[in-house]
Amino acid sequence: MVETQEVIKYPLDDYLRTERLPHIWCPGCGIGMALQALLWSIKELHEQGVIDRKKVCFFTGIGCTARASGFVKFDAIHALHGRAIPVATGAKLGNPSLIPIVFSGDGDIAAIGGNHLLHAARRNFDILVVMINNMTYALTGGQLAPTTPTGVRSTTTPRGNPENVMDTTKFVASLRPNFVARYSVTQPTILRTVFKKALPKRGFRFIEVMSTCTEIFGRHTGFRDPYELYSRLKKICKIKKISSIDEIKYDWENEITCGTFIDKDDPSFLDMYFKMYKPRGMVYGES
Amino acid sequence: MFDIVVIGERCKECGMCINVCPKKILERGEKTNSRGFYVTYSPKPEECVGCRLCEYVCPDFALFIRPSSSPTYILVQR
Repeated sequence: MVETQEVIKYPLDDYLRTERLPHIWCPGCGIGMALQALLWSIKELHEQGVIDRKKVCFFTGIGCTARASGFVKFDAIHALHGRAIPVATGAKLGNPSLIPIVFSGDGDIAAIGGNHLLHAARRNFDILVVMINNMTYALTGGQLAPTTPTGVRSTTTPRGNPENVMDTTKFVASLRPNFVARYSVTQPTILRTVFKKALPKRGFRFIEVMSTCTEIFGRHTGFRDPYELYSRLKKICKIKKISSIDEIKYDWENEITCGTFIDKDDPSFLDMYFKMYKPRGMVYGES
Repeated sequence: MFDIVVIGERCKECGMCINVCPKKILERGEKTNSRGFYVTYSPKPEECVGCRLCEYVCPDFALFIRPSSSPTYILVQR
């Protein structure tokens, strides 16, 4: 055992505001794992020369996940609740050379900002949306979220959730954007390759990351240890190839289907806009 | 041959790395950091196979594995 005072850098320290670490997330929280996978993919793409890290900017709303904008060393905006996607849209329209990443939770993107998600996906607008789904409103104390699976207990539904659940991946896939995928933090290497695939693409890219909320969701559903919840999620998150989007399942008891469900290269909103309107002094890609 | 490097001040004692390790060479240490968490310790770092699962699941950016010629457990105190 060696104890040292010397500065040994964590591989991602160039991409983190290390003076703000340790972060505010609870011990064993899945958001840190997802952020790590995203930062690794940005780092690898930057070193390969595919993207420029100075062009990457983070947009987050309100929530546990949204605190990520304070910990990453990119230009970042901590926007209003649910309004991360409109802010990213405005930034991309103002400067089309930026690479906007919306990194927010399920309460922010699916619940409060559901309408913005719908219309950004409909327009096939050029942003990457990473939705961390921890199946509850974690920051405010574990209230019922639209993504809480049916039958699961929360603070506001102590005998189980009587409502139907919103499967955000299925909902976004019905609008046919360029990239739709769902993976889990229990598949870290796959998650990293999926981020690497989605970042340089054009059009609307939506990645739902199933995550573990150990202190709020885990305690209400009877998991005392972060690893218990992690292994439960590992058991139910199954990667499958599907023929139709109707086959994917979102069921806490049996299966949460993971995989890349849509991957295509249709012309995006900015491709169409620059083709039709040709704004002077602005460039987007080669067109 | 791999070094196991732990940045002590970032560890929150969640135990994820201890549980996912396939060789079971990580354990809860006896030393605390300034926040009172028992930092992960490895008594036999020479048995590490370098799968890096512990690094991937560490949510606090506190633990990483690096290739080296002499396997050591390094605790960075800052």
